[in-house]
Amino acid sequence: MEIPHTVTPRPDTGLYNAKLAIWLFLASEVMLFGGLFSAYVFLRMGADDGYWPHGLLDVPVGTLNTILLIISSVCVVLAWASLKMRRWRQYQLFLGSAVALGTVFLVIKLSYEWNDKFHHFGTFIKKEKWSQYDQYLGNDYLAKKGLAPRPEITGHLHEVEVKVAPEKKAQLETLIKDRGLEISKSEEDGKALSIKVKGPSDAEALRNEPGVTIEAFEMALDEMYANPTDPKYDRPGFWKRHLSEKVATIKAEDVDSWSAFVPKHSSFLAIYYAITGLHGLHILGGLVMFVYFLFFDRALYLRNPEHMANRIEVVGLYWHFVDLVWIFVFPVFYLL
Amino acid sequence: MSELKHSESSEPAPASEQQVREVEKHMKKYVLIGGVQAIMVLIAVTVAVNVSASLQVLATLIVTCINGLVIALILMHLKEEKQTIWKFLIFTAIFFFILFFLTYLARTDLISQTVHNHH
Repeated sequence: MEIPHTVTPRPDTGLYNAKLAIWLFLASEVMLFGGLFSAYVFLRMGADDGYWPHGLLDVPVGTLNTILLIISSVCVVLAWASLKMRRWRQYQLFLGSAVALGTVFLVIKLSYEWNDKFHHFGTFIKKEKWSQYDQYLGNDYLAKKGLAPRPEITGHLHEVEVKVAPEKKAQLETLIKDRGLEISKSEEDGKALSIKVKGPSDAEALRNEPGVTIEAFEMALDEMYANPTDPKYDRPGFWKRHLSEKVATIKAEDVDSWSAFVPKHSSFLAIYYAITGLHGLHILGGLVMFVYFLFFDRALYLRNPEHMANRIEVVGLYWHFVDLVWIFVFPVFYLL
Repeated sequence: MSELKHSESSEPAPASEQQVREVEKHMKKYVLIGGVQAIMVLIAVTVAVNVSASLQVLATLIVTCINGLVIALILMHLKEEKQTIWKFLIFTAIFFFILFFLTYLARTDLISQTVHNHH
C-alpha cells in the first residue's frame, strides 16, 4: 500500500508528511540546544572575574570551519535543485561535496581542535598565592590597567615531581614502566622523584596512584605567561596559543586545581565540549543520511524523482539547522 | 514484472525547460547567499576582534542574528513557507524565551543567606 502525501501536500496543512515532521523535529532541536545555550549564559554570568577564558580557542580555525559548513549548506540546497532539474550526476557532485566538507569539519574539530586541548595543561593558582607567581600571571599590571586578573598558568607539562610512600615504590615503578615514562631525578632514597611525562594524562595516572603525592609541575609556558605585561595580551588572543622557551615550576600546594583542557578543567570547557560535542554528533548524523541518499537511493529517484527531491529537501533542512546552530556556537565560544 | 524492472532502470522524464530556468535562477541566488554568509562571518570576526569590549557582545550578536535569519529565511525557504510551520516556530520561540527568562530569574534570585526554620 502506498503511503499518502509523501510527494503531494496534505490538504489540511498544505505540507507533505516529511516536511511537517522535520519542522516539528527541528522545533524540539531548538529547545535542546536552547537549554544548553541557556546553561552557557548561566555559567558565564556566574563566573568570577577572570575565570571565564577569552581567546582560548583558535579563531582562524573556527572561522575556516564555519565557512566550510556554510559552503556545505549551499551544496545541499544545490543538490536539491539539481534533483528538481532531474540532473542525477550534478546532484551526486553537490551532495558528495557536502559530505566531503562535513567530514573535513569533523576531522578539524576532533583531530586538531579537541586533540590539541587534550594535550594542553593548566593550573589554577590559589588567590593568596597570585603575588608569588606574578612574573607569569602579571596580575599587578592588569589591576593597574583595570583589566580582569589571570588566575591560571597554562602550557605544556614536561615533568612532575612526586613523593612516594616506601611501600608503594614498586607499584609506582610498574606504572612508570607501563606508561613508558622516565625518571630524571631520584632523591631521598627513591622517595622523591622527578618524572618526565608525555602529557597531562600521565600526571592524572600519577595522581590516581595510591601512596603517590604530586609535589610540583614543570611546564613550558604559553607565550602570554612568559611575558604577561606585554600590552598585546591585554585583549583576548586571536591565534592559537604558542609555547615559549620559558619553563616554570609550580608547586602543587599553591594550586587550586590542575588538569588538561578537558571538560573538568573549567565551566567554560565543560559547556564547550557539551555543545560542540552534541553539534558534532548532529554533523555525523547528517553525513550518514547523505551517504545513504548518495549511494543507496537511486532506485527511488528512478521510480519517483519528486519523492527523492523531497527527501533531500528534508535532510537539507536538517543540515541547514546544524549550520545555523554553528553560526551561533562560533561567536559565542570563539569570539566573545 | 519485466515492465516494472524496465521502468525502474530508465531515467525519469527530464524537467521542462521552464522549470529548469526557474530552478537555475534559484541556484544563483543560493550561491550568492553562501557568499554573503561567509562575508558576514568575517564581519563578525572583525567586529569581535576590533570593537571596544563594551560594544563587542552586542555588535557580534547582531551580525550573527542577521546571518542566522538569512539561513532560515532563504536556505531553509522559511520566507515562502506555509503558515502551519510559522505557527510551530512562533510557539517554539515563546518557549525558547521562557527558557532564557528562567536563566534570568535564577541569576536575580541569588541565595545570599541561609534561612533557618525553628519549629
